[in-house]
Amino acid sequence: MPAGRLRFVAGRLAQVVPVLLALLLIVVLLQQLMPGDPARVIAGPRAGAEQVARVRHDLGLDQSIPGQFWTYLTHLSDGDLGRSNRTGIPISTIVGERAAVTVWLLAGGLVVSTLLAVPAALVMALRPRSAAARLCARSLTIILNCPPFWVGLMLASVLALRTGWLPVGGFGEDTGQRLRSMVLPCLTIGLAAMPLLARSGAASLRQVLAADHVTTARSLGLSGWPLVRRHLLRNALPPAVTLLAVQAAALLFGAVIVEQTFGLPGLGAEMVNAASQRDFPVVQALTLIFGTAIIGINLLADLAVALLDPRTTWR
Amino acid sequence: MTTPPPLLGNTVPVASRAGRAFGWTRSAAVGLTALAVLAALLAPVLAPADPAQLTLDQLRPPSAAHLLGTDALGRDVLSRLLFALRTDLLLMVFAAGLPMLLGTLIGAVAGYRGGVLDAALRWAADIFQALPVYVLLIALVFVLGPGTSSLLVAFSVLGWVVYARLIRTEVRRVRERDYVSAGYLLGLSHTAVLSRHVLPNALRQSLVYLATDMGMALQGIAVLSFFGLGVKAGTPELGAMVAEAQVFLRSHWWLAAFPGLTIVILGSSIAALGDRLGDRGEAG
Repeated sequence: MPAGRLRFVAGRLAQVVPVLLALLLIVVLLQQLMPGDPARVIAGPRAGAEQVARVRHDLGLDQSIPGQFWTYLTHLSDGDLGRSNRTGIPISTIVGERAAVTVWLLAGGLVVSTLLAVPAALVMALRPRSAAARLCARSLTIILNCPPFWVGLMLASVLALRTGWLPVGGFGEDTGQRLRSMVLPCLTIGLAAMPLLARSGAASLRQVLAADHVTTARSLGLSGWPLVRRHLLRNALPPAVTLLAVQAAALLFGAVIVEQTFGLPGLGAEMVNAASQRDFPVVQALTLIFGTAIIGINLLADLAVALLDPRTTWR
Repeated sequence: MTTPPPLLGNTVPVASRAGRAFGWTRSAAVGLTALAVLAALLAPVLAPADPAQLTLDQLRPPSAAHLLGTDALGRDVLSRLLFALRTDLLLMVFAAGLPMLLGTLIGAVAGYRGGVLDAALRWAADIFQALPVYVLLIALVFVLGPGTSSLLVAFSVLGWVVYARLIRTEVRRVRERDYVSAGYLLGLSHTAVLSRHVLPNALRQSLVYLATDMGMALQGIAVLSFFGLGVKAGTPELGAMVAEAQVFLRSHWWLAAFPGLTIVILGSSIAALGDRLGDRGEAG
């Protein structure tokens, strides 16, 4: 790798460090924000004084804030995320069991949203004054304002309850059942992520359309699908990848909502359940995991775009 | 030199098809938003029944007595919907308005003063924007405990950054204009110049963003309440109404459909109004 690229990668990695530290600090400080005595709250209402003292010591709450931060970091470096309050199961085990569902859901959602967003973006960019483009623009505003949990319920009501084609919720035993139970959640999350993707896609396509090489290609008589495929889509891809990564946070939040609505055993549903049952360590660990994932996705997208785009100049 | 305004007498206004269609959507958006605000304000007058009144008429389909039917506890759904609109509109205005207020103050001071303050703001904003806002929203509301005040605190803590950034950029741009220097020459204080001459000109972009943000705040409030992390149990709220109706989806789909539809209509109308504000700014 040439020196310029190496410097770019190192520079981008260095930018991530303060963000990760801020996230860790917030996660550690979250327990300070709890009203009353955090150890008391975490230990639960039935805990005795001795138990509360033990929780306080275990969580490092008897130390100063830098001390707590350090304790959390050392535990983390051993792969120790703590234990659930409700069940006592190590959180790393819970994450290991449940991460796959969330990852598949996100992948499925991404496919659905791309399939829906690309045609809409093409119409809005290529025929901006047509009736179809206006219809798209307005539909996008409406879809953007549909709460995903409600869309999920309505889809379940129409496609599952009325016809019995698909399971309403839960997660089947074998692969076939599991695939079927992922259809509605993927559809919901894809719909939720699609408007922003289509809008940003259309914007980046419009930019490419105005570029000189497209004018040249047009003047050479190229039009229609060959023009779109060879000169538009390829060049609109890098900005779209960046925007997609920016929306990773929204997509993940969509996954949290959809898992809970459809009763899928993923990380998001675990976080909501833990939050409603006041299981602090699980909420804390999942905040950290989701946050790290989003920061990581953004980093990867930035690196990929810069490294794959031949037009990038290395200073 | 500025171009003279076109002479109205000589030009024939031609309304394009696109222009007419946009006009139609916009009047609909204005009308629906106004309707929602009116319905929320007049909820106590309009509601046919007490939204908390339990009766034995449980899970009735829509009829003349109960226009939208009754829920599992025998409460009139239309009355609950009207009061829920009130709750959500109020929460939405504060959940989007408080971050804007906070961000505007921070951004204006940092942009106007410059120097260390400005650098600190930029540094903080960079970190904040890389953090997962929605996940932190759940975590923060959880830690602070369910309830409206923790909702508003969480929205403010996580939402101020965008506004601070927008305002800071605009303030720095506007600060160099001649009319601002003229303000100093006339002997106005920093506060007077900032509040009377710089801020009003920097606010437009924030208002456009506010309109989009309101829709997102509405959804955020509804989602958190749907999860039982938002408003107190029993408060009429649109997301909570959908959550209560979830169990009866098979037999009573309308119980879940109407509150959700209300969120969609309200959010879309406000977003359309925001688009209009943005377009107008670009034109003029």
